[in-house]
Amino acid sequence: MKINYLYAPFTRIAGLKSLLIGLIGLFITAYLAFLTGTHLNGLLNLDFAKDADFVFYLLENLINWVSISVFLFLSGLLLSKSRIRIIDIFGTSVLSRLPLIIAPLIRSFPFLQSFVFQSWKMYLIIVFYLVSVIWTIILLFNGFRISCNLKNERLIISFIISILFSEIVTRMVIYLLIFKT
Amino acid sequence: MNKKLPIRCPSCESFLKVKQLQCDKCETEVSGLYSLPIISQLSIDDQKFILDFAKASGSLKIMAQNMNLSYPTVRNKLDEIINSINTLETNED
Repeated sequence: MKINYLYAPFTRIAGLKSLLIGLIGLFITAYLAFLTGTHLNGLLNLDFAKDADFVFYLLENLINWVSISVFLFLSGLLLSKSRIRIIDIFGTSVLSRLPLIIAPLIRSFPFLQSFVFQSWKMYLIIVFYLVSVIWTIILLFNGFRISCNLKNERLIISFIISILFSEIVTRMVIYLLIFKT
Repeated sequence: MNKKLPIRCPSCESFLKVKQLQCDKCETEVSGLYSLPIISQLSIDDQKFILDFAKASGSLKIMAQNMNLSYPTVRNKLDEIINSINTLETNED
């Protein structure tokens, strides 16, 4: 069986293994985000500010991951005829977030640590961020497809709805968190 | 050489049936028209999967380890085979 590790590693890695690798990646991403002041507050949102503790940057990543996983799991429960496992959904979706390390990673280069608004440096970071988001979405999609054994329009529609709902929930929870602190 | 059991008609693609069986030892021949068992109508890969699954005591975890694939990939393969069996059973009815 031909396996493409870049965008479909889940044929070989899922469950606990992907959960552990993904969680390590999530912690490193959050730590780099904290060091560089890169807020990954949602899959489709990027902000730059060194204005919080490490825990906040970690929570942003955790909230987004849990929210995506919960919605994907609910979609799987509703639509899949297979006996799906929650650990596969949470494991594949956390491993799918690995590319999100790119934006905080390139911001750790000295010449990209500070930049003027709407400068070429900012656009460069955004381009890298967009590439990482597209890569993450492809991985999330493949992880969801394999974990829930869904096909065709059921797969595509439920995936899009899950991502959109999870984005709304992520923003709401993060804003609630900001107002509380 | 391992000869592959033909299951479909090369002319019209319908499932073939068994017309004659022979005893290797005394050469007694039995003639009739028998359907192939459903498991024989599956692809060679699917038949192998079922045999390996039985040898693994029906454990998908062991199957995943043996095949070096993830658990959901193996479960999806099993679901595909179940669907094929259901389709074959419906066609037989």
